[in-house]
Amino acid sequence: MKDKHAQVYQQEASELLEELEAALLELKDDSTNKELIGRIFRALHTIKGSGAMFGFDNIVSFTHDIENIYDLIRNNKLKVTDTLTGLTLDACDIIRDMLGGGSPDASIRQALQKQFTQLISGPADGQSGGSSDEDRHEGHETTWRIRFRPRQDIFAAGVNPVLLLAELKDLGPCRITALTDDIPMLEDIDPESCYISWDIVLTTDQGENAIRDVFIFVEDRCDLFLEVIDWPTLADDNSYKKLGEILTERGDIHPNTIQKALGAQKRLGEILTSEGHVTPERIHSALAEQEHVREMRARQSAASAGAATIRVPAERLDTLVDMVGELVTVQSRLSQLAERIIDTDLALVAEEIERLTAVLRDNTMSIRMLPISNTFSKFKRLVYDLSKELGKDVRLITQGGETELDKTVIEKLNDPLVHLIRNSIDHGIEAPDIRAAGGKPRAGMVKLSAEHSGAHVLIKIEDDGAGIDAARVRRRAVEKNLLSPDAVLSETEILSFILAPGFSLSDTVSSVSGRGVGMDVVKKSIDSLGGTIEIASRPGAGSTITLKLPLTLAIIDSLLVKTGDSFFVVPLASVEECVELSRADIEQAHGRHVITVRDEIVPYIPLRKSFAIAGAPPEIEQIIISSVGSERIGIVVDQVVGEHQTVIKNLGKFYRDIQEVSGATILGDGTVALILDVAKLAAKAEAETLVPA
Amino acid sequence: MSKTIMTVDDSASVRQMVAFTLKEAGYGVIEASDGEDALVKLSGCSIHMLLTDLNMPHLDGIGLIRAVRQSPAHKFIPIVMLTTESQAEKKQEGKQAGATGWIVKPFSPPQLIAVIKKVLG
Amino acid sequence: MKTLIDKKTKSATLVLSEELTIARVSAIRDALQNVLEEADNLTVDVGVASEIDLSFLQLMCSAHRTGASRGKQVTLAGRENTVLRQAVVETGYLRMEGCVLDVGKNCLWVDKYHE
Repeated sequence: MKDKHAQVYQQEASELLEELEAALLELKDDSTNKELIGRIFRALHTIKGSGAMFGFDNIVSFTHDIENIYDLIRNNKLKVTDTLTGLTLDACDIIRDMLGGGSPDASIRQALQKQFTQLISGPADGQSGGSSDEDRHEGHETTWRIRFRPRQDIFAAGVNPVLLLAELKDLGPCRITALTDDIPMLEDIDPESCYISWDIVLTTDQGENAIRDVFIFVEDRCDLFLEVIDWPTLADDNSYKKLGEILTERGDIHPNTIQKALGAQKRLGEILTSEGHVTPERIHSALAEQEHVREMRARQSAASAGAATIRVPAERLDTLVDMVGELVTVQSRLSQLAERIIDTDLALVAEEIERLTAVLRDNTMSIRMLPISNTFSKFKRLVYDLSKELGKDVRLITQGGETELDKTVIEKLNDPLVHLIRNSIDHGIEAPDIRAAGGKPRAGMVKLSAEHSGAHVLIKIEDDGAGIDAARVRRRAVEKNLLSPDAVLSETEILSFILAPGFSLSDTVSSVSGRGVGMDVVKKSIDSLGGTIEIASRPGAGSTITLKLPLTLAIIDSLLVKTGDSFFVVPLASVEECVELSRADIEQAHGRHVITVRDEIVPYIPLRKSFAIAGAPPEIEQIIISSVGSERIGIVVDQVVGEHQTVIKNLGKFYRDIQEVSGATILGDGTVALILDVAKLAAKAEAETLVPA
Repeated sequence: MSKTIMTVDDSASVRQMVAFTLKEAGYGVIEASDGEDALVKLSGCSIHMLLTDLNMPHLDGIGLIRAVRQSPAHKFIPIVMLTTESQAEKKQEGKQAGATGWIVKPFSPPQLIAVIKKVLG
Repeated sequence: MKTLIDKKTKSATLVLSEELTIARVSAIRDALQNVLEEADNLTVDVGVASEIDLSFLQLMCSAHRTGASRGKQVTLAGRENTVLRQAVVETGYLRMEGCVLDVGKNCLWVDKYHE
């Protein structure tokens, strides 16, 4: 049906185009012929008018300007030139293309359209009369200063100014300041009149007409000032006009006053308001403009910086990290060599290489660093869903999203964080009515924050809920035989029982949590990242869980130990202390592998036995006391060599099944040291009943 | 709670199209055939917005707008008038009488809804 | 509209419910004016209001500065009402510092609304 009409139009329009072309060619030689000009105008008008009825919107918008031009010529306001007839002939080709359903090259079309517009307004851009169809800001992100001063009787016309403000917000990011200084006292006010006006800063690519359209119904019921204050090409840095400049530009204050005020050593805004030159809300409004423009510029530069990045496959990056790891190893061999062979030239080169390697290593590691904000923002949805499910009102606040962590760490952090946030919402945050009764805001808060702390990143999950009842944790721990009733423990120690496997505080199981699985899983994941968990609670006021994570997984701080001729590395994160193990201690235990450390019986694993290392142990051995979950376990070695920066290398396929070893590293002299996975080692030892349960 | 809009037009077909569009968009609709009919219906109920044609028998749009702006219950409601391109003077008169906005006939349903969103929210 | 006045302490609470919009704003102005004649401390409770528009915010500004000029205090209660919060944000009323007339530094719109 519609197609049939469209066909009729297509045929009619092609005929009109032919007529148009003929008339144009005639016009070239007879440029003042009124009759010809009239024919051209009518042809264009019909092409456009009928086009609208049959859905050829592209033709309508394209023909619009050209029609206007011939209208001007018809009324003797513009002269026919060869350029114009030439352009119009080009336009005919484009319209013909559009008629056939094709979509001509947008750039050619736009260029042509622009040339037509220039014919109307002259080549210099100038101030093209406000309501002209051409809008030079359209399509370019521009920041506007809008001052909207409604007349007092605006309410009586049924206008709700808030809706206009909302419409502006739809055009782009904006800041709105209501100016309330003119509101009179109660005895003088006509409450049905409007005394408020607004300053608005808006960044939009919609152009001036779109902004004016918002105010179309109130244009004679208000004063409206529009001014461009910023556009992208201006934004070569993030600084913007000073407060004083903005105020004088707006006419809020005289430049002389600013000059005088600047002389005093105080904040300009404070002086100006305290001396009564300008009201605080004008300052607030000017500051809002400053902040807005800075923010937009920062966004702009972040966007263009984003374009200057290169995407690289992750495996290439991994290879690079690997190579740097090897380089670090070779470099430390070189340094050892230089120490042995006393040669100043060699020493100089070795030092230089050491410095460069360190820089290279840090740089390489930083490539794998990603901001944690992506992970953080995913949790917004989680919090929303959970609080709905549980009938609670919870807001998530995030902080420090720009903090960077190794890509692998971030990936592995997702599940533990999900669990911890769930716990906070399910167990921590109380139901709205309970909160209200306790004098808290009905809406609960969960705060997720990240910050750097040396070679670590601290991630905190805070809530303002009920906190964790340490006494209850203690009772549970005793019930579950995890703790003797008379043990003396600090609150932090008691709270850490929550991390024990199978430990749960809730008597009932909700769909979200309370099954006693989870926190130990969290603990395991954080352990595997070489991190630690600390729990703090303020009864009635909330709890804080702090995850301390290494910046990167590729290089860890560790303790280098030796048994027989073999070197091992224990991640420092799991080491609590080192104690000596003498023959006397062993005899005292009557053949069981336990030792009393600080009045506590700690089982131990002799590494010599676990790895079947030949030779007799020394007179006095060393026990590395490590924490595995809430338990402590010792690892017996011959000798503690010292702390060591360990570059982790993966073991080959051959070793993949060896659970007790999580990787290997190459020492300065080229020897290989195995990295012990203390938790797995303990588990295996337990399975072999070497360690009493 | 859905908002109620009164549409006033002596042309049944325009009224029908308007009423249908408004109901589709979730508004409650009261129809009136001219200014007098509108005032009678308004005395018995409360509406959130008025949409009126200008040329009508008995009491025309301008008269209706003036009367509505006098009534305490509807003093501040948005009023939108239906105009045609050639009615520039009438439009001015309507604005002076207290119309909030206007929409030029002929219009499409989306255009109508856009105007209503603009004045009623 | 309900007014509670404690004659001894000269404190009053004006509880406003339902729609606090332009249609009722004149009546509310009269009520505010009357209470402020008698009380030194006025709390306007909007906790159960179902709608708040610009004209009401404007009137509260007026009441607050009228109070300030007479050494009286006007405060808002029921700020947790999302209707109020939304109105304050939508109208651009939220601010960092009170107006010149805010001598008591207790502007109704400063910093008390999250987000």
